[in-house]
Amino acid sequence: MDTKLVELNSVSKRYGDRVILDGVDLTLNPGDRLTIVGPSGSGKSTLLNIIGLLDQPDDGTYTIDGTPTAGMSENAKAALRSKAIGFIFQLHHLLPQLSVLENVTFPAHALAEKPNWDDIESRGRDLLAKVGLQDQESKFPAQLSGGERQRVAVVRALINQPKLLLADEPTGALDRANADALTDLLLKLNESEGIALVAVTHDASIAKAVGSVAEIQNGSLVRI
Amino acid sequence: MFPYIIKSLRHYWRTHLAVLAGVFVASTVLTGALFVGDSVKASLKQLIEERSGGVQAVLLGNDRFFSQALAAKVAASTSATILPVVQVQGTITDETSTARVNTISVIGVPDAFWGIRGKSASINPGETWINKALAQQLNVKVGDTVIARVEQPGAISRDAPLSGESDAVVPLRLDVSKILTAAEFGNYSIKAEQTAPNNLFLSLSELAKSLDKVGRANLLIVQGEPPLPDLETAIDEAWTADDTDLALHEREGDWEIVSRRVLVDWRAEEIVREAAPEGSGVFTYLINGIKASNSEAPYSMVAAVEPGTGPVPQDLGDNETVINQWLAEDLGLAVGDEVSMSYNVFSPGRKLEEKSATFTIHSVLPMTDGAIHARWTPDFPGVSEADNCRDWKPGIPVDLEKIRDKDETYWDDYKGTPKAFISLSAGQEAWSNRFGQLTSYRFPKGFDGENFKATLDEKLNPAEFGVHLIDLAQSREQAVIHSLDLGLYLTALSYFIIIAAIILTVLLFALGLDQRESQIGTLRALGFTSNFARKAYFIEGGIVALLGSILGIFGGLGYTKAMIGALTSVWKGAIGGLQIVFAPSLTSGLIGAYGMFFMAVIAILFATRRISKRTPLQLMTGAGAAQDKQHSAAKPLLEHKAFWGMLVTGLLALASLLGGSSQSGAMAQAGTFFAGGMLTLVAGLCAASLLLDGSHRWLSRRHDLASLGIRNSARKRGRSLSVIVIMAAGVFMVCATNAFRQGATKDAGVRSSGTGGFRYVGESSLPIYEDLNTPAAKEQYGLDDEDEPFSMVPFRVREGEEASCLNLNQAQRPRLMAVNPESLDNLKAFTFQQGAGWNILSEPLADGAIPAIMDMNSATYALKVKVGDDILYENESGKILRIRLVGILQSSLLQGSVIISEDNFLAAFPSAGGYRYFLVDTPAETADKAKASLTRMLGDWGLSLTSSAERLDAYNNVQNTYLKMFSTLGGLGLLLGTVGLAVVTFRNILERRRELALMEAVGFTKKRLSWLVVSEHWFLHIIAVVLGAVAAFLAIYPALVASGQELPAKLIGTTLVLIFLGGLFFCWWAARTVFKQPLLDSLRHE
Repeated sequence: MDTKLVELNSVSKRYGDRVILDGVDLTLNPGDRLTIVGPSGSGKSTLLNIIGLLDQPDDGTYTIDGTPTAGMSENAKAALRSKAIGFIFQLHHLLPQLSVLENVTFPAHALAEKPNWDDIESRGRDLLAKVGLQDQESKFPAQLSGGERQRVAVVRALINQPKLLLADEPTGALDRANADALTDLLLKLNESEGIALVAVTHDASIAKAVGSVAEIQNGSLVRI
Repeated sequence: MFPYIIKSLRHYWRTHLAVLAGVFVASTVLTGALFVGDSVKASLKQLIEERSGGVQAVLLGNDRFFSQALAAKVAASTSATILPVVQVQGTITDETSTARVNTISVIGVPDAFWGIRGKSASINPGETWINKALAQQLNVKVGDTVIARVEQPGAISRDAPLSGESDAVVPLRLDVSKILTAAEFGNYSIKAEQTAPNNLFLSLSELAKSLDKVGRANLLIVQGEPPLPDLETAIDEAWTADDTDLALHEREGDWEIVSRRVLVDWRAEEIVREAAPEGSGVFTYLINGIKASNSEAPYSMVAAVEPGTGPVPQDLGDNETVINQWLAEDLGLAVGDEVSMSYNVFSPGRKLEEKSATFTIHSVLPMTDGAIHARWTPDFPGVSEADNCRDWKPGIPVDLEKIRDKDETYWDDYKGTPKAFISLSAGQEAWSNRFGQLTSYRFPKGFDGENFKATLDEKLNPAEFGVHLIDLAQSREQAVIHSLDLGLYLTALSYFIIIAAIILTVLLFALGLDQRESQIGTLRALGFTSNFARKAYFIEGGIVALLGSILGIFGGLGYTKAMIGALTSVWKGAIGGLQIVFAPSLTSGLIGAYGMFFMAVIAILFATRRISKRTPLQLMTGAGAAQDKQHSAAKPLLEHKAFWGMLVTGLLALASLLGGSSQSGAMAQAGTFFAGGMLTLVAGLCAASLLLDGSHRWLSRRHDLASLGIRNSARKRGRSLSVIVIMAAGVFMVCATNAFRQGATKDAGVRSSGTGGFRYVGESSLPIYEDLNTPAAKEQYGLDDEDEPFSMVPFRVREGEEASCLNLNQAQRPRLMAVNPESLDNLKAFTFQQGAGWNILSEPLADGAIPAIMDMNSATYALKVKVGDDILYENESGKILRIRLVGILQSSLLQGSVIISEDNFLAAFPSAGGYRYFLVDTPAETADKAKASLTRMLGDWGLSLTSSAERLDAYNNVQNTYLKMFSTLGGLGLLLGTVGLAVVTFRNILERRRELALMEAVGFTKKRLSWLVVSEHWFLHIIAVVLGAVAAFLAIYPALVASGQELPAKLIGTTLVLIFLGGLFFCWWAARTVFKQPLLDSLRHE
C-alpha cells in the first residue's frame, strides 16, 4: 500500500470559544499540489501550520509520511520538519548575517545526520541557478530585491529535499511580476522535484495556476 | 553552528557591543576592586618590609635590660647577625620648645644596624638621625638641635616601693645630622601598623650611657635566617643571671644573690631556692620609723631574715625583733620592750599607705657583732648612693625635719646597716608585693659560689622573665595575610554597581533577542530544535561576555588607578593614610574576569530560557512575547495579593518605626528603623502593583496621552514592577546607607555614649605613676585643682598594635590596657552591647582565664573575635595568658585595645609600671584651662589630650568613608540602572511598534507618540525614585537624629537629582532613537 504523505482525519482547532477548524480531512500524496483559499481568519494559516508541525490540532489525527504526530516531542517535530518539510513564508525571514548561499544551505545544519557539505553547497548552487540567482550567492539579503529574497527563501526550503513544500502567502509581499515568476518556479519545482506543494493564498492567479483548490468554509475544508 | 555564531556576532555588532559594554563595566568594577585589594596588600607588605624587612626576629626585653654581650654570644652559636639595641619611648621638642611630638621611639643602635639596609654607619656622639616623618612634624632640618626626653629606666618599676623618684626624666640634647628616608631604614619599626613611626636614632653607647644602662640593651635584632628553635636554644644557653639582673657575688666571704631590680623576682627566687635550697632569703626594707613609748628613730633599715641565720636566732618569733645596740641606746630599749615599726606600702598609682606592726625585743646585738653590717641592705635607688640622709630620694615622702644629726652620723658610720631584724615571714607578711619578697638570697659559709654560677645560668630562661623572642618574619607575613581585605570590602561596596551592570547586560542581551525573535522562529520552523537555537544564542552571548570580562581586566587597571587616586584623596579616611602602590595581580584579574564571566553567563542563560518557552510561530510573528496583561473585570481589593502584602508589610513597617523609638542604643535604634524603612519599601512596591493594576480604571475617564501612557505601564506589570523594584531599591540603599554615618558630637557628654561622657582622652609617652586624682599627685605636678578641676580614669598600657579600623594590618599583638573596673562602673560609662558592666572584669573565671572587654568594632572587625573567645598573650613569666572576651562595648573611643582589670594586669605583668592612657572629666567652663594645665605640667611625660568626641570621630571617619564610597559607587550603579530603564523603554517600544505604527498611520505625530511612551516610563521612574527616597528617609531619619548628624542633604540631593534626571533623559533618548526609525514598515509587514 502506498504511504500517504499527509493524512488529516477529523482535525479540529479552537482558539478559546472560536472554532477555526472543524473536522478537517485531507489527504495528500507525494507530488500533489493544493491551494487553500478563504477569507482572512478562516483558518488557512492554522491548517498550514498544523500540516507543517508548527501547531497541533485539538482533536483528530495527523499522520505525515506514515508517522503519526500525536504525542510527538518538539524535538522530534523539528527533526521531521528539517528533513520532510520545506517552508516558504510571506516574509522571507532570511538571516541577514548570512550570505545567500549560506542562507540557502543553513537548514542542512538542522538535519540529524551530518550532511556532506560539498553536496549541500553544490545542491544549493544548482537550486540558485534554477531560480536565476547563480550570480548572487555571495550577496547578503540586504543586497537583494524583494523578489530575489523570496526566491532565496524558496531555495532554502528545498535544500534538504523535502517531500512537502508549504507556502504561506508566498507572493504576499511581491509585485505582480515577481509573484507570477515565483508561482511558476514553485510549479516547476513541484514537477521536477516531485515535491508535494501546499500553498495558502489570497492570490487568485496562484490558485488558478496550481489548479487544485480548496476553501475553508466554517471550519471545514471544501474542494472547489 | 560556529560560522553562524561568528557571522551573527559580526552582523549584530551594535547589540553585542552594548552587551559587551555592560559586562565590561561589571568586570571592570569587580576586577578593579580586587586589584585595589592587591595594591593595598602589596602596599602594606612593602610598608612592613620597609620598616622591618631584613629583621628575622627580635628578642624583646621591654623594660628589662640585659647584657649587650648576649648578642655576641648568641651570634657565635648561630649563623645569624645579632645586634643589641636600646629602644625606649620618649617625647621631643625642637630647641625652642615651640614644636613638640609626644610619642617617639628613641633608639640606640650600633653601627651595624645600618648594615641591615646598606652600609654600616656611625652616629657621632651628641648627634641624632631622625626619620622624615618626625622631621616634618618638628619642622627641623639637618643642623638643628632637638631635645628628646626619655624616662630613666628604674632598677625596678617605679610603682614599687623604694624604687626612687618617679619623675626621672632624662633630657637628651642632640644635633640632627641626618634625616632618614624610609629607604634608609628611617621608618624602622617592629609593629605592624601603617602609621609612620616617629624615630630618633642615636648611638647605642650614648643612649645606654644616658639611661645609666651602660653595656645593657633591651632589644636584640636578629638578621639572617636561623631556624627559630635553634635561635631560642642559643639564647637560652647564652642567657645568664646577669641578663636576669641577678648578681651572684662574694662579699667578705659570704656568697649572696642580689638583684639590680632591688627585689628578686618571684620566679628568680623560685629558681634560686630550687637550685640551692641551703641558702636563705633576706628582705630589707626602709621603714618610716621605729617607735618606742616616747621616742622614735626615723627612716631606718630593717632586715627580715630566716630564723637561724645571721643575727636572728632560731627561736625568733614573728612578733619579735633583734635590734642593734645603736637603736637600743637611741630609744632606751631593753630586751622585752615593745617597739612599733611604721612603714609604707604602695597600692596602684603609687598611693602610699602607712602601716605599722609591733614587735617585742628579743635581743640586742652590739655594733661589733659580725652579723651587724650594711650588706643586709641592697642598693636602694636614691638612698644607697646618698652621702647623707637628707639627700635620700627613695621615692616616698621623707620628712627631713625628722632626721636628726645622730641619724646622719649613723648613716656616715654604718650606712644601710639594719637597726633591727625580724623574721623573714614577718617581713614578707608586711612588705611583699608583686615585684618580689626578697632583697637578697644569702648562702652559708663554704658555699661553692663559683660552681653555682654555671648552674644558675643554666636554669634561668629569658622567657620566664618577660623577654620574648618574636618571629618577626612570620608576624609580618601574618599581619599582611590577615590585613583588611579592602578588595573584598570594595567588592561588597560595589555590589550594587555590579548587579546593576549585570541587570543591564541581561536587559541588553534580551533586547538583542527581542530583535531577533523572528529569526529564532525561522530557525525552529526550518527544523532546528529549540536547544540548537538556545545553544547558539547562549554561545554567542558567552563569547561577548568572555570578551567583556577579559577587557574588564584592562578596565580594572584604570579603575584601580582611579580608586587609588580617590583612596589617597577624598576617601583617604578608609585606609589611614596608607600610600598605596599600584600592584594588581594576574590572579585577581583572572578571578575577577572569571567571576564576571560566570555571572554574565548565568544571566544570559536565564535570558535565553524564553527561546524554548515560545513556539516558532509566536517567535516569528512576535506574538506572546510577553503576554500583555489582559484587563479583566475589576477584582475586589481584598482579592489582590498585593493588597494583603501592602497591609502586612505596612503594619510591620509602622510597628518597626514606632518600636524603634523605644529602643535603647543608637545602633539598635538605627537597625530597627532601617528594617522599618525596608518594610515601607516593600509596602510601597505592593501599593505600586495595585496602582498599576487599577490604572485602567482610575484613568479610564482621562483621554490625554500621558494617561494612556501610564495605563500602558500596567500592560507588562511584571516588567514595570521590576523597573520600580530595581530603581527604588537602589535609591533606598544609596540614601539609607547614610543611616550608619556616625558622629560623636551630639551625645559626647552622655555617659552611655561612645565617649563615655569624658571630655578628653589623654595619652602619655612616658608612664605616669601617680594617681592624678589625688591631691598629693596634683600638688606634686603643680596642678591647680580649684581653678581647673578635673578627674580621670587612668589605664595601664601594655604596648602592642592598634587593633582598630585605623590599622589595616591585623594586630598580631594587640595593645592591652588595664583599668580599675569600679571606676568606670560607678560612672556607668559607655554602653555594653554584650556583657553586664565593667565589674565583670573583676569576676574570676573558673578555668583561670582573664576576663576582658573590647569595643565592638575592634572585636568584630579588627580581631574577629566574639564573646567567649580567648586571645592569647604571654605573661611576664613567659606563661600563656588566656584573655577571654566577656563583654563588648558599643562603638566607642576605647577601640584598638583589649581591656582587662588592673589587678589581673599587675598579676600578669608585675614589672609594668604607671599609667599611659587617661579618660578625663572636667567641667565645660574650665575644660580648656584644665587641658592647657595638664599638657603643660605633664609635657615632659608627653601627655597630650584630645577631645573624646574628636577621637571617636577619628574612628567613625573610617566607617563614614566606607559609607561615602558605597554611596558613590551605589550612585554610579543607579546611573547604570537608569540606562537599564532606557533599555526597557526600547523593548517596550519594539514590542509595540506595530500598534505605534498604526497610531502613526491614523494621524498621531511621532512627537505625540514619543510622549505617550515617555510618559509611561517616566511614571515608573518617578514612582521608583519617590518610593525609594521616602523609605530611605524613614529609615535614616531617627539614626540621623540620634547621631546628631545633619542630613547629608547635599550628597543625597545630588544623587537623587542625578538619578532622577538620568532616568528622565534615558527614557526620552530611548524613545527618540526608536522613533527615528520608520514605524509604518512594521505595519506593512502585518
